Amino acid sequence: MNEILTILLKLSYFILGVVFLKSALSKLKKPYQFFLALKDYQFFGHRKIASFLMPFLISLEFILAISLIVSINSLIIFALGMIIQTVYLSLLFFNLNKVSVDNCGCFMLNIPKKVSINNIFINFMILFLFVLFYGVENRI
Amino acid sequence: METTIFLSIIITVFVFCFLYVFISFQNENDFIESRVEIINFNNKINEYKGFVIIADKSMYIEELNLFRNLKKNLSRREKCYLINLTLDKNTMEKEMEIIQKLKLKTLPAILYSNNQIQELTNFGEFPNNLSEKNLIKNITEVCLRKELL
Repeated sequence: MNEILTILLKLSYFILGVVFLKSALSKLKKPYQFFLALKDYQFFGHRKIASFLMPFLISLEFILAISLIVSINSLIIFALGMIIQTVYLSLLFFNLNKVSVDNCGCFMLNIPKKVSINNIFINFMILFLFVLFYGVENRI
Repeated sequence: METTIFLSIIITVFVFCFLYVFISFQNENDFIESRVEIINFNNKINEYKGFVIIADKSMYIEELNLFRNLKKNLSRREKCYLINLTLDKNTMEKEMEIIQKLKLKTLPAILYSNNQIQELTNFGEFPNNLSEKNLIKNITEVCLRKELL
């Protein structure tokens, strides 16, 4: 039973890792567009804050994707996942129903052009998955 | 031991990734900041000698890499200026007058300025299904050929 759970967990880590890798790569390719999207949101309205936090968030997301795909340390995955999802959830929550002007709409997972309750729900589910995976791995 | 090695790798990847994104962003930001507003360009048109790319604000942002590479290619021959069309309510009328004066029908357009200004080509002259690399190659070839004439 435990072996099946371990395989399922590794598979889930891998799938989530691919989702985060795709998201991180799209941001890596378009840092300026991501910066504009962040700048349009409340909290990151200030240019200097957005220009510093933008590479920080992309790098965190990239190493989270690698950690998920390799899935060596569940605590690192849990910590990184919680940090990233908390930041994105806060951003989405405080910008609910906002339509960004400068947002290119290329970062639909975390920084959509129009923030809807669906986006918050999806990101909350991802946050929940990190808690679930960490809990399951500790119990196996 | 395994965790320490993994953590060191992760931190190293993070640092490289951070620097890569930060430097890429600074380069893209410098590129965007180098644009000249079309009204300022029109006021001192004789000071601009070389290739002139005219596009609106959103085009530059949406196709940032395309414009960066195009500017890089054209700059090998002569200086290349980026002219920005804001299309804001306050300036739209004046900007449209300049567009008409330059006889531009399609944007983005590439012009050549040397005492007199003339359109070399515009993006409408190329098929939509061209890859970014081929589009840049074709535009550069057309511009360099017409510039020699």
